[in-house]
Amino acid sequence: MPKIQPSLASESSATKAEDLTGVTGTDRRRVLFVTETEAAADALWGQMQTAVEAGQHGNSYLRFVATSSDAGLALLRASQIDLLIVDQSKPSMWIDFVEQAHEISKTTIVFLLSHSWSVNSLRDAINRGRVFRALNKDRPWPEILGQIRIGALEADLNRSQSALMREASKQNRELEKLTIGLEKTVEDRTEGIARAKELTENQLDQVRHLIRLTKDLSQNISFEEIMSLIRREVRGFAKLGDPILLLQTSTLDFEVLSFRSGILLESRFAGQFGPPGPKATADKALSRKLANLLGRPFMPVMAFPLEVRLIQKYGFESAAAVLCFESSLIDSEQDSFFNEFEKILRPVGMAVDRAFLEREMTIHSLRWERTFDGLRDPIAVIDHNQQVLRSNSKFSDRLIHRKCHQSFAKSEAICQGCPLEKVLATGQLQSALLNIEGRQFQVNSYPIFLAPSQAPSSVVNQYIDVTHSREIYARMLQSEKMSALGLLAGNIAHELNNPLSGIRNLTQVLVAETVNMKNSEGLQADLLEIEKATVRSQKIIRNLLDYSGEGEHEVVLIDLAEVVEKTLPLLKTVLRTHRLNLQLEGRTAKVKVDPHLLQQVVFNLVNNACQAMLQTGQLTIATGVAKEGEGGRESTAYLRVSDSGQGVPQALRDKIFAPFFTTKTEGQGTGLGLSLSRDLVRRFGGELSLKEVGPGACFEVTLPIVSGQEGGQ
Amino acid sequence: MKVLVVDDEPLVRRSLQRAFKAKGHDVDLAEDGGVGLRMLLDNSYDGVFLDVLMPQMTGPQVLQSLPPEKRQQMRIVLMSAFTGAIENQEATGLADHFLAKPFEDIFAIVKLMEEIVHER
Repeated sequence: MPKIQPSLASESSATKAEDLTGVTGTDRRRVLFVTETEAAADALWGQMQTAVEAGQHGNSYLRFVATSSDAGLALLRASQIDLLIVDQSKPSMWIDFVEQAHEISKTTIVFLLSHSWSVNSLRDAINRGRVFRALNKDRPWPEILGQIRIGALEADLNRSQSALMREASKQNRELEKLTIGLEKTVEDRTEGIARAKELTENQLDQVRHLIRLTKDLSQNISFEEIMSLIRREVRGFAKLGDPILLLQTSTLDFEVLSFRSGILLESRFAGQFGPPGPKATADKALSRKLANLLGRPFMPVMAFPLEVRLIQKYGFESAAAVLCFESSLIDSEQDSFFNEFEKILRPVGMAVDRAFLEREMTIHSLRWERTFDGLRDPIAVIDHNQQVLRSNSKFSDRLIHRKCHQSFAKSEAICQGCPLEKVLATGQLQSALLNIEGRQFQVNSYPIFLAPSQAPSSVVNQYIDVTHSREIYARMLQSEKMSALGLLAGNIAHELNNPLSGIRNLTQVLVAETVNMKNSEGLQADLLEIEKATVRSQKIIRNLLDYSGEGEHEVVLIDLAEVVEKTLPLLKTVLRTHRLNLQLEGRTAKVKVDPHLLQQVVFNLVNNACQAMLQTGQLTIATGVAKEGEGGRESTAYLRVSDSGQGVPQALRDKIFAPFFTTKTEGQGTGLGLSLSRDLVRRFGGELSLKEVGPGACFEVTLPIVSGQEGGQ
Repeated sequence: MKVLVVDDEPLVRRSLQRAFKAKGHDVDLAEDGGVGLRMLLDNSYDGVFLDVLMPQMTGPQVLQSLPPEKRQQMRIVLMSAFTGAIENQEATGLADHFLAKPFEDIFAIVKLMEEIVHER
């Protein structure tokens, strides 16, 4: 086996020795000589160097030498060989070598030099060994070197081609890498966009849901609807109970709103439910409290305090609301629930706030309404147009209000003496006494100021029915007046009686003295007239004493004719302008009355009758026995006072006996005459009524006859 | 017959005086209870008309002020416009008769007094 020469050593030495052109090693063509001896290689190298120096070969060469086939193949494998020059005496022996060399480096240009070429070896060298040139060593050097030059140029071409190829493939690889990177980026991006889209859609869905929920919440005003919405909202959390709402209405009591078999129940409790624990934890104290309140076992409770600013703003400072859920969620689930629920907490809070306020306002206003309805007196808020804004049930049962005088007084005209205008003008409380529908009301009218410093916009009227108390007062006054009159009459009677008595007696003396006198008839007649006048005066005084009740009030048996006769002297003044027609009968029919009181009745009736007749009229006073029934035992005595006036209008017939009813102008009458008279007559078992006769009015007193014909005195 | 009329009403005094004088009697007059009492003590009368209600001294007070022996010498008739209370109580014990004013007939009064005085 031929031994490999230490080629690197020789190469380096050659490099140092031959590198005379100044070009870099890589640019030099690498030439491997495979010769039988190193001397042969040197000889070839010498020829080539000469040609190089002559400028015939362009670039210079770098020399490698091998003296065996193995060393040559090793060098071929180790270095990039451009030219392989095989110089052997027996070329046929080296066909395999060059074939192997070609296998190792296809671009290497191979020259096979020999002195002895056979046709077979030539054919094998070209066909099998694929040599570039098979050269006869016997040919002159310039020819051989020329062929080597062609090979060298070919090698240069090969070399640049391969460098180009290398570069191209390198660029290709980079391009490929770039393409792969780009594709990945695009892929990533696409995926990202898809994910983002999905995420956005999710968020959008959530927002849409939130909007819908908010809208639903804002449209629903009852706690039941709100609670049902919350309940639906948390349905996704299976380990969560139905919502429970705690409402602190005042410092004194609170309410628990909870579902029981799908129905919202409200329970009210005294006291305060107290502030809930930290939001994020299940509150055990609260669940214990709820268990006690609602009487069932409770899981840990999660509490969400709700902001209820609206209701607090409207004066319910102590109002508070807490939304609770029974929960068996584990920590991580709890977090997700909190995140989820946090979003709707605000709209829920606002809805609860609104519903809370609405309900409290309703309760509040209902309470006021009930308060006013509970009062005894009619009360109404009235504006400047007499329009009733609000009223209690005592004022009117209607919900839709009309003007106050239409609703309350049932009149199209404003009530006489209505204090409304004055209150609005002065802004001060006013009181007035109004006659409304036959009753007397003291109307206290208070101004209502919607803003301080402004004129009152409306008034609140309180109607106190003073009919009864006024009646009592008026009667008291009347009886006081009568007793004062009695006292006065007594004094006057006494004062007058004495001189009257003297006048009468003196007249009697004078009459007696004139008896024996001559021509004294005229004088005597005058004196007798004086005496008669004193008699009449004394009678009037006695009647006045009787009428005013001087002496004892006694119930006695008396006939109505006598009562009339006793009263008439007192009525001379009022009767003066009218014609009096007396039809006094039934003197034997006695009734049991206090004559003084009955005299007052007659006095009233006659007085009324006279006032009812504007011009000179006819007044008729009649007494007698009413023929009632067959037996006659239950018969009654009557006393009728009728006039020739206008009569009582149909519309007033029901009202004339009502206290304070009067057709007279203010100050002319108390409106108590007929009312009092009827009471007095009824006291003795009788009746005072308006008879439907004639054009004028006829009032009739009927009294039961106590002792009839047989009891006559 | 000598008569004293004690009354604050002049017309009553005058009418009684005229009626009694017409019948031939002597009549003295006193305008109130005080004057009447003095005249009763100073003189002696057969009959006395005494008004109940008078200023200063009432009729019954005058009677109570009279010594019993003096009271026994005369007949007393009390008179009053106010009938009732006095009629039943004091007057019956103190006076011999009681008259309610006004008098229907003055000569009936004169007759009444004449009868009472003569009864004695």
